[in-house]
Amino acid sequence: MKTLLKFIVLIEIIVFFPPFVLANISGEQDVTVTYYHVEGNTGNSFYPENKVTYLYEGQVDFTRSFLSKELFGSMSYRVTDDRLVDLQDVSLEEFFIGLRKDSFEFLAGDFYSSFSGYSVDNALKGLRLNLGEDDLAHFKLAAGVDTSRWENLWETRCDDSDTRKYVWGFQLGNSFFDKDLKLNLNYGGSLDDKAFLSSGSPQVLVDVVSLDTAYRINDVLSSSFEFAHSFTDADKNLDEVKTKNDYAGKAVLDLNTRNYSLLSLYSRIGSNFNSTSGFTAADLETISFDGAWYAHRNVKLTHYLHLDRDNLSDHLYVTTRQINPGVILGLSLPREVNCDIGFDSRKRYSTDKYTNDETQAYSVNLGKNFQVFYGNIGYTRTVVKDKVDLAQERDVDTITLGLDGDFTIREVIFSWNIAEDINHEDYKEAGKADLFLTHSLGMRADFPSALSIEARVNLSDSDYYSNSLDNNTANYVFSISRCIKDNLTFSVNYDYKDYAYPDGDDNYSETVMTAKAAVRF
Amino acid sequence: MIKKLLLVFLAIFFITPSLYAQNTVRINGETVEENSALSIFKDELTGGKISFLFKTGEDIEGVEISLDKGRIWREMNAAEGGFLYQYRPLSDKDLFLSFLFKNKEGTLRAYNTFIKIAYQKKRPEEAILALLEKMERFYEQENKQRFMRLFSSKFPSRIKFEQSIQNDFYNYNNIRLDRRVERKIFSSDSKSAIWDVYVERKCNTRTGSSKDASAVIGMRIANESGSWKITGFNNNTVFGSSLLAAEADLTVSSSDISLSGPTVTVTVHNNGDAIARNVKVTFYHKSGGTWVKDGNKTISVIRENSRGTTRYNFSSLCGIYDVKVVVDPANAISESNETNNEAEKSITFSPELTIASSDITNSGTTVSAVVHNNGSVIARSVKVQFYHKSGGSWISDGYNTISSIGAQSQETTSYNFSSLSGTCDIKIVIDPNNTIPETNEDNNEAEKSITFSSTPFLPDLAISSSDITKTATYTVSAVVHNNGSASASSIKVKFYYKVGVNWVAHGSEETIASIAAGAQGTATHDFSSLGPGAQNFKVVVDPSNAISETDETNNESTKTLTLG
Repeated sequence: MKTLLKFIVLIEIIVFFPPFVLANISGEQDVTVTYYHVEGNTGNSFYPENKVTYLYEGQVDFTRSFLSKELFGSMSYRVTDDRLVDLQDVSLEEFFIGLRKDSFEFLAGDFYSSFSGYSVDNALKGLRLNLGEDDLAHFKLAAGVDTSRWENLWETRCDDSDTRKYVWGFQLGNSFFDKDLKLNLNYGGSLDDKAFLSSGSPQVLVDVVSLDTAYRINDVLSSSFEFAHSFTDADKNLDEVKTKNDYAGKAVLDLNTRNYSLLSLYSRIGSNFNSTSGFTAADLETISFDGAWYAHRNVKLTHYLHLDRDNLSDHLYVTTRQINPGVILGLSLPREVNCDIGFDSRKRYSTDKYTNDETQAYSVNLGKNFQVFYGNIGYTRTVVKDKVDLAQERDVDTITLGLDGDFTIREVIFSWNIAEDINHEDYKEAGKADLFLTHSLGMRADFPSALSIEARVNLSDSDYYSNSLDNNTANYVFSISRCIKDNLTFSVNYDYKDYAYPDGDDNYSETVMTAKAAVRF
Repeated sequence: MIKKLLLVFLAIFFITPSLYAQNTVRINGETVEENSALSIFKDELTGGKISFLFKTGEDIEGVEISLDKGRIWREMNAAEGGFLYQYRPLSDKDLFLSFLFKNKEGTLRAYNTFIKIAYQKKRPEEAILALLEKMERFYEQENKQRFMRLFSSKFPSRIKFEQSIQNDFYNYNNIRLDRRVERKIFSSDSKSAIWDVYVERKCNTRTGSSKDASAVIGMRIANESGSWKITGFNNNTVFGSSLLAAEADLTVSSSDISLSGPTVTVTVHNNGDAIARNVKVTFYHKSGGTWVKDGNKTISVIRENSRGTTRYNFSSLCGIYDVKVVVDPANAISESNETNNEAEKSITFSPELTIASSDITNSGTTVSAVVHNNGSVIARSVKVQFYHKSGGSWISDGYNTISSIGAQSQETTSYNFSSLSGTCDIKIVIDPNNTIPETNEDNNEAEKSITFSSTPFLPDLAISSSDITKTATYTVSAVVHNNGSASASSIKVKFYYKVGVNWVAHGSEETIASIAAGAQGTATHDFSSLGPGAQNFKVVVDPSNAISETDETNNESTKTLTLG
């Protein structure tokens, strides 16, 4: 913690202390005091029973000219004893500093690099170099550590749920034929940090190479492709564990005429394929079509068909397939009434017959601009069929109602909204139903004096047929904020939540009150 | 309509920008250049509306505006020296601005500004925090429709994910969530972000038991046409866990491998939440530093949180070997943990020779020993050493060699202690030189105190006159008694009749298969060739003395019987 404090202080000195004072400094400093209070069965709550906590958050952004380039940077930090906000007393939340000019940028610190879907797509703490512009010849280099917190870089204590890995990669790209064809070669690598692995867990090394292209065929048709090959060493420390390689591919065709658009996608990601980010699915083949037909200026027909399956190498015992067709007819009716009528079907089944369910949804939504307010009402009938688990079969009726609007009285802008959700789930086998009701009401008033007052109420009632776990939840929020000066805002927030259960033993309520002062400069 | 669209099309692609040099577009009071891209947030709006003002140097009668690439057109009103349209955005979206105006001559003209407006109700960080707040609220309210609207259509395996959320809402009640943002990093253009969010869930199952879960979920979030959507999860074990996390987890460890007789027994555990079927188990042994595959076995079903057993016979191995067992070697079963499917163990494949005192018996001075092989491999040339104790010391008498004893089999060997008499301690040692490797070398000898009788265990076949009877008209039967202590087998019985003073053998010898000690047997002979009348008969048992007996003098007797 001391190291971090020194670091933050050093940065602040560099930013503010002459003669190093930078040309443009902006930022925000917030101080928040929070009071938590829980009554009733306090063990059910995530909050402390009775506690006052403090939170100081700051952000400093700066830019200045340096060696005929722009030096820029940002730092966010936090000091708190509120464990619901941060596990550390002092933490550096975000930090980066860099140099840029025209098509050159060098950055050290936090950044998000996304080369392509199958290669590097990570938020890193490290170094990034960008040369050239995306639409022209360019080169990108990124390397760093993919981990949530800066503290993890020097703390010996590691939270069990944290992960950390080293990631590196580059992208080399160019465009051709007057930018109609864009071509990128991507490489990425990642290696798990052993310090964050539980004992016995393997240290995984991933190398992935991808080629992605985007080609504008003509005015109405464009396409994009990516083909990637990954090499995964499932345990870098064991020679007998062989490196598994696999590929992923994606092809997209985008038809976009005046009256009709259709996005067609085929992708296949092998079971042993890995990207550096971990956001990609594995062992999944997808075909999808998403279309929209503007049949008339007041008629729009959206339709889609999504199909996917796993077990691509046929080496799993079970293959599961999904099919999801749907259609939505959108109508712009007279008197500014919008109407959507939709159907959606989602079927899932497996070769071992242990999965065979289908969900069909029929929906109607109406929206109208009443000038003073906007209203919408929707009804959805969902039919859940399950040939394996009959207990899951149910008909669900969902009704939603929303009204929102704003009006001005003596320069005070009032905004309000009302929402009502009713969900009735009728289980066929049991012959009984669950019922969920939620009601919400919100009102906000913005005064010319930069005073804002907001009040919200959310009430929900869950009635389950199967046991006595019904609950009623009531949430009341009230907040006042006032911009005292141009750059100083003060706000107070009161948040009360009450949970009630049939037997009363588990009942509890939470009160969270916060007072916050924010300074911008 | 078609005419308008055609005009727009032509305008977009063929008409030079200079044609519109005199047009001015003001958005919320600010002049905006063609080809601009700008972001507008709700807190910048007046009365919640975006104000579009279009002015042109031409003399025109009316103007229509489109915010969606010319698909829907709205009439603009004459105001402020131009034409005004106030649009009230209800949700985050991208607006593409184009105009269609008509001059005094009635000519329609399209004007595409190439201005793109990204309207967002909230600024990126604020919008994502609101997204997380909604995600939490809708999940707690078990509102699948609203919850799934927060996810992009590009969300990996979205159909399965939606099904898993539906399963969550069926299986879990009283859901409560808490979250803590661990990291929030935006892309350079603030159009996408990766946030690490610690999510903790408390809930009850439908049976009322509590089920908690938590994870730091990496969330990839992107602004899609003005709306922030979740485009990917990383390390998600909370949302959809009732389906997504329901996987088998097959495990095996070295303690699950054991040698039982000639076979290796393996116990495979399924610690997951899903049933595993057709679980293939592959057996290897290490030879010369490399693993050699021996064979496969399949366990048909291992239920969740249960275990199954299979056996494999490494018949070709003899000696100490490293054995490896790989469960589901082709990863044919989807598991929550694929890294715990192997185990190794060093196993000694060998005979297991044993003898116990109960395996030692004697007959007279001959001692028999039953040698067992309880091991997994045949034992060859098994030396069995015989000792007797004299003066407190074991004296070696000699040894026998059993050519082979099969696995899980036994053989008997005998040794004659001809010089011994009375009671004496006998010891038998198998493989005294330890030439045969065994898993247990400590069970190869046995001792027993044995009384060597002066009279050996022999049968005593006897017959008397009363034992010879006529059992049919011309049939004579002889009952033979075995009064000895050992059984006799293949006992020959010869029948005679008297001619004058001489005994004449009649016909061939009869044979009694065996007579146990203390038992008796009967031999019958047909004398029909003699005809009726009284005759003297003699019966001799074991006439050639082929059987050693304790008494060889009581083997014959005579009797007079009348035939016919």
